[in-house]
Amino acid sequence: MLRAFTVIPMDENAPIKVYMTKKLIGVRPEDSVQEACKVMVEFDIGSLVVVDENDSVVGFFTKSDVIRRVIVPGLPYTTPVKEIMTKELITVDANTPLKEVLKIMAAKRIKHILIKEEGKVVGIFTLSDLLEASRRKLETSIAAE
Amino acid sequence: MEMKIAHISDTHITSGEAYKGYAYDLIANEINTLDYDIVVHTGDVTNEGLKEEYERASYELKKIQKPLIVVPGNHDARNVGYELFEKYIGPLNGVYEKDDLVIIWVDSTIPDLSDGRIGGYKFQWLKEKLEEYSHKKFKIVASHHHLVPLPDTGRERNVLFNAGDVLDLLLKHEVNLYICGHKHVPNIYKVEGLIVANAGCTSCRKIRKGDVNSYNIIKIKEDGKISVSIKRVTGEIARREFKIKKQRIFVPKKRRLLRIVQMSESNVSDRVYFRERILKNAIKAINEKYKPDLVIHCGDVVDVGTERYYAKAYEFWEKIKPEKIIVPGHNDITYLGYELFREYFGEPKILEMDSFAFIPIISAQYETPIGVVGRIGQKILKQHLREHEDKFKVVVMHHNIIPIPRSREIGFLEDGGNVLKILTEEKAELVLTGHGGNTLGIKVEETPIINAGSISWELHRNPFGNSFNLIDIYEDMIAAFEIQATWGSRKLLGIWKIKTKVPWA
Repeated sequence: MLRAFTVIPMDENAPIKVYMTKKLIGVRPEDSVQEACKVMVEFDIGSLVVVDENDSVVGFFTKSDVIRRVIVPGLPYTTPVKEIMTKELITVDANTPLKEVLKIMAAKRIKHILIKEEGKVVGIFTLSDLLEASRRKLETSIAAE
Repeated sequence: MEMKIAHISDTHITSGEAYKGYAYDLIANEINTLDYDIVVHTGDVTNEGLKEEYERASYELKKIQKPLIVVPGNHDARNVGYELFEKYIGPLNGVYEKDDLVIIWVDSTIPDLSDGRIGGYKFQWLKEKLEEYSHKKFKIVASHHHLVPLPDTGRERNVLFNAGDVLDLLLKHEVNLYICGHKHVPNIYKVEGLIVANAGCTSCRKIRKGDVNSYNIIKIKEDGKISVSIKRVTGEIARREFKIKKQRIFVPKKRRLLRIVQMSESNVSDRVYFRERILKNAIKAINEKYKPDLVIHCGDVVDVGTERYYAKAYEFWEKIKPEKIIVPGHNDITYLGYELFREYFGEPKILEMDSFAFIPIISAQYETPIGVVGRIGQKILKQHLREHEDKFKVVVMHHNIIPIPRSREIGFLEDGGNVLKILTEEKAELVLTGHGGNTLGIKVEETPIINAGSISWELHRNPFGNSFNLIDIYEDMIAAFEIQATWGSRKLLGIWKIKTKVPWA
């Protein structure tokens, strides 16, 4: 049992498909960075997949990529997403056990990882998914009068 | 790889009247002559679990000249029949593996009860098997008891004790098919990506609503297509096709039409379990941050029906600025609650907003957590759904109709099976419920069903904490999030495409 981030016992041998988010929100490569950021705000998410017309995932980026690749270099908000997205995707197979996925994420120092099955991106796993229980604990501590 | 499976169930073999030997022989012969690769029997092989029944059953089952998996049913476990089952029939739990396919069968019986349970160690065993066979393209779990409420079964009962956890486990592991029997009613539902196929009864006299004996046919194809047919002894075949779709990416491009906040179980009271501060904070966030078009409270607004609690609850309710709907939960109508609910909140009425229709259904009964819509209520529900056919129809009620994880499921809506059938057949665009103290978002057929956890009651079952749901309806999809009541952190409950034409847009 893994208890590093949470008190919810996570089964480290379970395939990552059990823990991943299976419904992804995406944008098109031609969409502007500003449109993409609006989607992030609307859905309150920290990352987006970039999908082409055939529903193939061609890129990925996070909020901090926007800060580092758009805001800091001073690119216009109209820059298409395809120019700032990460094209070399880091993925793992959906059947990889959780503990292996965490090792890969630690080695590459990433907080989000895309999950593939039969050649297609089918999910995303984010470290913040592990923080559920601690939020609940903090809630209990302030709810008690 | 192509596989054809015959799924039989509830043979009830006995020398008594319950068993229809000619129906059994008819189906067994047909199975032998057609090109089935394997046969699965999902339980109630015998009628009373008696030795002479098992002796006869082992003879009858040998008539089937194909590989055969047999799952125990509640009748087989009667009279300590579960021990005889292992002696005469085979293992109670097991795994069958061939090429890309795995079938895991699991004993869901409880000795001497008709109820079901895949509890404790067995649940762990099932989980481990699903992990072990995670790489298989086709995964089938077979058990005796049903997983979601079935229509035409009279009262909704004998549900799996932990049906919510089992459903959650199967969905997380992307199991393709859950096959079962028990209720003697054939039925096929698509529950998110999971096909739930109930076989009718193969050779028992106890058939409901004048139906006939039947069995199911499952076909699995290399290209990821699965078909399930119900074949009755009259020769009639009802067939449905499914395609396994793993990639679900949503590209939001269309306009947002409506935002709903859904909450439940505020349980306003002066008891220590009522978290007043959390409710206040949540109401503030709803008014100032989320600004929904409509707030829906799915019941249990007070802990018990006293004047003092209603007065207090009403004060909170008045602070919520947007338009509101509330239906009573079972707590709300305890003691004086039946009168008080109507005095403070009025009789729930259908609300139309632009092209949306919100249909409240009252399911709470006096002094019991079990709800009922009733036979007249079902007709009214159907009529309302038809009258608002051209609208986006949202049905609002208290009791959950889909089992909730981490709760003991006892069939909280007495006629949940019939109600679920009406909601899915009449294509309600959204169903909102709020019982069980945990959150869930699941699409059955084309109808997303969202249950709200508790917004401000400490006695809940939600590892995320107290929460409410934020549901955004776009022209082409519904996106539902659970919002942690204190911190505002979000969790995706589901995104569902709206496939129907949008006259309501």
